[in-house]
Amino acid sequence: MIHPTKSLHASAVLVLATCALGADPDGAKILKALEANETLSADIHSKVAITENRAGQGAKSLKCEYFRRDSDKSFVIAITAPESDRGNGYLRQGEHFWMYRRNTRTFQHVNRDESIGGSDAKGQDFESRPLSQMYAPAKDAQGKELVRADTVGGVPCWKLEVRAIVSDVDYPKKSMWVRQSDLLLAKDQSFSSQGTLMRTGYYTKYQLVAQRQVPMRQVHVDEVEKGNRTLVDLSEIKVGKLDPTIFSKAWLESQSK
Amino acid sequence: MKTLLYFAFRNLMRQKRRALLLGSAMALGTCFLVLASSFVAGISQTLFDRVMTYVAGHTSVIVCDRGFMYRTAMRGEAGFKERIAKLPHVKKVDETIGIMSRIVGPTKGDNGILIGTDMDAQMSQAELRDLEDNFPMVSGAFKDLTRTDVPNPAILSKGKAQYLGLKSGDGFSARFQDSRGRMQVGKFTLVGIFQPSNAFMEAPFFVSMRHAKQLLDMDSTDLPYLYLTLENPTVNAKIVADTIFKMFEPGLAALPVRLENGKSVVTAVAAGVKADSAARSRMASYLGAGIPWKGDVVALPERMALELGVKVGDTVRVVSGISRGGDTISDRAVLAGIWQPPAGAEGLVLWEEDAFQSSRSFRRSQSLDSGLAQAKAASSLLDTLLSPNWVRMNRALTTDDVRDQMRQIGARSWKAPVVAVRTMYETGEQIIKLADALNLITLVAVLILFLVVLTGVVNALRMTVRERTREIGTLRSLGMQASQVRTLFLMEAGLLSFLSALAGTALALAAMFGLSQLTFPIEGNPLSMLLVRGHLVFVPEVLATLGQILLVIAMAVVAAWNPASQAAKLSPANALRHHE
Repeated sequence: MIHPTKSLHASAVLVLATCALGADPDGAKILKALEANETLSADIHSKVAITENRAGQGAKSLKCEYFRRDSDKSFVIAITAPESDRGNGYLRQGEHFWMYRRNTRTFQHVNRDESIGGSDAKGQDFESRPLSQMYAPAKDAQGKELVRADTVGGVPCWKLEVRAIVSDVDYPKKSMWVRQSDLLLAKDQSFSSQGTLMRTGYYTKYQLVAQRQVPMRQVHVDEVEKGNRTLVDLSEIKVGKLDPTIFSKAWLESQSK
Repeated sequence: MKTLLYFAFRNLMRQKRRALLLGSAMALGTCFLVLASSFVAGISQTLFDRVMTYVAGHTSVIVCDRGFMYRTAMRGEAGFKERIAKLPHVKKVDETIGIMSRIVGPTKGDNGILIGTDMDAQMSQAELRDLEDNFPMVSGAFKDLTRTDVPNPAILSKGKAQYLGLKSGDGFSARFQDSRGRMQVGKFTLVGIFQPSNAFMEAPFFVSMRHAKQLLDMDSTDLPYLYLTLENPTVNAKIVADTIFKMFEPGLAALPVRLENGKSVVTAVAAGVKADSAARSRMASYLGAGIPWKGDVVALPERMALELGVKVGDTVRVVSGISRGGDTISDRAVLAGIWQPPAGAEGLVLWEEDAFQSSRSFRRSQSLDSGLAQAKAASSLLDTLLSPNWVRMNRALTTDDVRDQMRQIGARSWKAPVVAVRTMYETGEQIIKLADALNLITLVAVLILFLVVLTGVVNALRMTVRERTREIGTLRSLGMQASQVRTLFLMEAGLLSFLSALAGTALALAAMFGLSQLTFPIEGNPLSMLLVRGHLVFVPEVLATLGQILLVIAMAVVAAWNPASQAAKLSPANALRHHE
């Protein structure tokens, strides 16, 4: 399962359309352009629907409301469906990250590398780090950046290969397909350090939100366990200052009543 | 005394049937006592020496990298294993790797725990037998994990292999997080299938320790979890844990670095400086009006800043070594201010703790002097602001403490590696309670049984005294003292109980042999954890058995005291006049 925050953070990829590239694509500039869109200046509220398909197990859906305030690295996720999970949620306040369980009415601290709700998202994924601090364009033997023209679904893209410049990222190698027209991420593939393809993501239906392009639909395909895929749909995105009381334990707890 | 003993024996022989019946009851009681005691000792041995050593070790050392609970390695500190192995009472030190993983078969996936098994270590026949007792093989053997003709040999449980549709020789994948936090996929070959002794043993998925370390990006310089097997663990676990705790006294950390600004290069030593709000405030007072001590920032001595040609707010490249993958570890840090180092720390760069510790964690281990002397010199000024080489957690005293400690370790406030030392009393409290409860239940059951048996003893002796009243009168008339009469009856009871206890012990040993030959099903058996290869385990202990025989004799003699005293109190004349 891909977590909604992860979706917004890691792949809310977008770009200053004005960041024009010359005839020769520049990997570092593409990365910078992608990174430029990662931080939202305004508070944001959105509904998120996540549909997880597991091979042989059918589909499982989860709906939640997502509130995010980047000014102090806070967010709240309040799960609204299915009924069995309704009222559960997550709260991050600066350095602290808690999971709330309705049944026990308790807040539990989430560890940095703990799986969130059995998904492949971890506590650490919620610590935003600029893309350029994690990855740099990969280069060939001649020292040339691995960037070339390609297409995704017939759309002309730049295929950029990047490698991690720090050791503690989920995936040490990635390939990114960035649309040539507006430098929006269309697809990415994540590899293990041995070069095994582990995950493919597709990003569609971009919408302008607070001067940033947000992919309203994402599909993440598990390349290791074939048949597993996660669909993330964002809707009703609202931008503007949120009530500060939302980012509190009391508010999250009140949603379960 | 010899005569009394002869009389006592003769009297028992005179009433063979009664002595036999009474003796049989006492023998059965003794048999049950020895049997139950040996069974509980067997369970305790299984729990302590088999289950506990695998689950938590008698004493354990827990490590993790900077609050990442599943990054179970302390970089460059493997030397501790050798030092710990040399401690008194330590029989064995096992490196332990257990990582949650997703096992993917041809059609299905399932969760499992990747366990590294050290097949390269000199494993004794007994250890190998223990391993196979705990994980009886359906096909293949643990030594197959050392095979080199197939990629990553692995062993799965029977249930897991069936669920995933795998048979010996098949290949499968597993996804897991390595010791750096990166997602990895490994290709494995199933070389063995074991029959788990209980539901808990379904999850492990074994690979050799060598492969596990490679897959998890650990090398011989890393210190993973250590599980210790001790001599007499109930006594020594806490003593050894206290000793190890002292060994992990935290010190300071330093890192040789190269600072670059364009073509200007300076070689220096870096020390980490904390960046919490209190530390920020103190650093502000040292650095003056500079950049806040937050994020990836450094402070340089003035001479170094001049050599590099940088001023506050500029960015410098910090090269802190070569990663294990061979890449240069470099970082771009903002110069937050100029600091005035005390004598001896003139070449010391202050580096924000998070960036400092993460570079320290990633770099290839080196035995070169890391410049600790400079960090120590700086401690006169910076004291608690300096980042330690590791954080040592306080000793947990209860299971609840351990739970709290795990929460604390996982909290995000740790910037340095974290180490904790525990004993089975905290980590395996439930198992110890189970052994204690079994001991108590056995004791109570045996006491009730003996109460019944001894009531019979008292009754039988009273009848004997009554039947032999005239004989007592005759003996007293011939000059036997009252105390000798009492001793005679006590000797009869003692002799009977001694012979019965011997017979009962022999019977118990025979029963143990017979019962231990029975094979119980393991699959679906909730008590299978207490079995070894499906057999019950009995551990008769010589001292305990002798103690139990003495207990039986003592109880019989105490029970006989009152009837014997009554016999002794009879006056010879009255006794001679006695008629049935």
